[in-house]
Amino acid sequence: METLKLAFFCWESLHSSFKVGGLAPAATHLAEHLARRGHEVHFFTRGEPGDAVINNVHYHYCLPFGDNIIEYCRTMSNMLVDAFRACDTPAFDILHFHDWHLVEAMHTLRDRNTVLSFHSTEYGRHGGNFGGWREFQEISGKEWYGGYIAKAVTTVSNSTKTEVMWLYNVPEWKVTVIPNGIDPDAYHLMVDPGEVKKHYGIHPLAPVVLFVGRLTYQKGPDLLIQAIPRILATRWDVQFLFAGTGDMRGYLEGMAHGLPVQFLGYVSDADHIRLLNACDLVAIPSRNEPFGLVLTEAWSAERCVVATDVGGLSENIDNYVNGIKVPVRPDSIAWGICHLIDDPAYMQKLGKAGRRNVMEKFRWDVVTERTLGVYRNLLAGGP
Amino acid sequence: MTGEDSNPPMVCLGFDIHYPCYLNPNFQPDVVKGKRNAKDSYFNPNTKEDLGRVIDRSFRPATEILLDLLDGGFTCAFSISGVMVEHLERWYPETLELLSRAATHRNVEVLAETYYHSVAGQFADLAEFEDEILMHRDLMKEHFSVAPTTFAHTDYPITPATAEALARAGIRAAIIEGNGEPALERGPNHTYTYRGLPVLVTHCDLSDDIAVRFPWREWDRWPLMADRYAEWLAVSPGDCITLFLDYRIFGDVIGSETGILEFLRALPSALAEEGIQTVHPSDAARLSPHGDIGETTVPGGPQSQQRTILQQSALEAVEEAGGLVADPAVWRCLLETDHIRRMAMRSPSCGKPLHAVSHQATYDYFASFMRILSHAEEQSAASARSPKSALALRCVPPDKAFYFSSHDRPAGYAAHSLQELANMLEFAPDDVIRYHVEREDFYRWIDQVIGDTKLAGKVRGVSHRRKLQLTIQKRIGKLWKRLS
Repeated sequence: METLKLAFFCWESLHSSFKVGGLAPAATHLAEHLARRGHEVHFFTRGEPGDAVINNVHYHYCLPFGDNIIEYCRTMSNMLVDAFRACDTPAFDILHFHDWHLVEAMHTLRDRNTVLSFHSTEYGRHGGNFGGWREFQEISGKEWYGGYIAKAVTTVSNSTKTEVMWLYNVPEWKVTVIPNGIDPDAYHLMVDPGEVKKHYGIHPLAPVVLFVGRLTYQKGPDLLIQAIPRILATRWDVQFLFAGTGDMRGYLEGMAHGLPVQFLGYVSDADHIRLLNACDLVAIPSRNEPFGLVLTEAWSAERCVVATDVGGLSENIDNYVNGIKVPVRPDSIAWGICHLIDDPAYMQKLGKAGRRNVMEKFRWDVVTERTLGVYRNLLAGGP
Repeated sequence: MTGEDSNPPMVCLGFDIHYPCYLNPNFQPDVVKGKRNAKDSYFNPNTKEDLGRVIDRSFRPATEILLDLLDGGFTCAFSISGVMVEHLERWYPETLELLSRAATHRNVEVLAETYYHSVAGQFADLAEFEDEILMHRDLMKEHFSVAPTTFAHTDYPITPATAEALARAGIRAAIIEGNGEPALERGPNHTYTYRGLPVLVTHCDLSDDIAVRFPWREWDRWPLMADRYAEWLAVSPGDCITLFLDYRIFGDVIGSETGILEFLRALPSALAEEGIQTVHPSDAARLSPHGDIGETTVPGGPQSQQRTILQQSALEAVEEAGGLVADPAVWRCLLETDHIRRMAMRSPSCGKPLHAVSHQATYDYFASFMRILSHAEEQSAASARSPKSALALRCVPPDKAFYFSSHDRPAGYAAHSLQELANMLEFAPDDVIRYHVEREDFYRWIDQVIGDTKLAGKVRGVSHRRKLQLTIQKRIGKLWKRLS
């Protein structure tokens, strides 16, 4: 196959000072894996001005400004379109946009071969609720428009696909499901779990349940905290670690008073991986989860999961084979955790099955190949 | 399923014949105050009657069936604990007679194990483990005129240290449990080597079909018949299937009304029908090894993580108690694996009776275990070289333990002895230590509960973690020296 010239538009990347959430690693790694296969990849994003080539990906930075998020994204779009035009000779084959932030750039370049990836929707980010305020409607409008003008759309899971089709009337033929990729070996580490637990002041043999993610309504940390008293009623030595921060933190700390819970705040990648490999169980109590990167990360570390039966989690977990799915309710989450927590052999079995699943479906090789499939289809004259 | 070779695997069937020293769950130190032999009240006072019931329901009928089968060419292995032989010799000599007829049968291999069916293999110091193996070997020689060479290592995962100790004790092969750490994720039906020692891995699913699921009417395979079971064995891939079952399964844990004894009776002919040969473990161990599984174990890795906090506390306490309890018989009865097993809510079954209890039950068991151990240590202190030192080193039951906590929440662990306190100081969070120092908790606990006024005075006002730990550790060393 001939090499392609690809443009990535994404408002965050791993190689700039702006990192917000799971979007950055997803887009950055995809770009790097495409570059590794010999394609020319240009990544248009925020950052201190000055272009750079990192891991064979060409980065073009801009520093946008604006009083609100909408304004901010508009200036960002304009700046990045200028940067794009500056290196558009020879012409780019594919323009790949990630999420809604740069839809205005896409509007300017709408005659080209554009691909829009939905990593989530505004509706989903609010835990499956509609909001009446301005930003909600502006952003939803952009997501609709992006889906309308894009030549091809990808989503990270079937449920996001359905959501996009339902919310924004995107026709099914336009949408391809491509999961987020992962490098399983980066998350698997030989550590002595007891040592890591001691580091956090936990008895080396206490079972530890880990929550990783932003402390926001969408991720459901409050559901897990509500579940804790029920878990302690059947087993009192379980300890809970919450890694990540977010707008609910103060509220959650109040809720967790007197419970065996620690809020670790933002943790570095190295600590994150150590925690993953030391904990006994990973809880994913999300109310809405387009994909659930935490899931593939936990599986890569051979950890078993108790997750809510929503979105990408629902699709990817095979119940009782590589994890346990429960309804979005504190008592159900408690049940799931209690069901596993005193059976280490069973937990190990589920975790190993999860790792096998990752090797099969979520390695970057597999994901990159599927992305290229979308590009090829588009170049061949339509999806 | 059988892969390329359609030969059915061989089967190696072992029985664990043992009756544990059950604790007296109602033991209270106040009740035995002033009584001379308090130790009688540590253990179940009705052991004789209870064992009699188990013999009537299980040991006798099962052994009679087996004797018939053995004459017919069936082969199996017996692992008979030393305590079991003692009990039988004392109370039921005719059953011992019956059992020894079976054990000395040419088609039976007698297995080695620890004399007291004990957890000594999990200790840091394996002297007791080796002693018990040798004691057991002498007993087997005396009663059944054999010196067993295959060791039943099925109650806790094998470690490099136990493998070495076994080799030193002249053991030439071991049976290990299929869901223990080194064996996990491997085809169980092969012979492996673990640090040079040939090991057979028990097949947990197939063992539990008998030990756990047999009487379960909701099971979609119920009722399990011997011919159906033999079919499963026949299509199981590998060279040799190892099954190691608690003998009490046959008739006692699973009552004879379920047909378990008929199942046992029909099994050999059903196996023969499928062309399955039964072999001795020592013969199976001579099959060419399928690989080495010793390398994959990480020292201090996941295998030791399978314990609960209660089990850990009890194990540490009982190991220390080796030097504190005057009567070795009491101490060794407390080493029984069943005690530790009951301190978890769910223990892997793998041929043993199903164990799934509430958290309260595990805690209650732990509490009575510690009450008895602590009482035995207190009683022995009087005759120690330095009674005061022995008292300071003793463990205490949960109601006297030191519970770590911060101002708003419990830390989730408690120290039951000075040594455990020192260990836990290593990882207790800073706010927890600060909280206890402010309230002078360390001082008061050591002074009033442990009763070591000298150490209490030294730790008073010390707020630095390392310094606290060092002070206590140094004192512990001194106390032990005084005892030796």
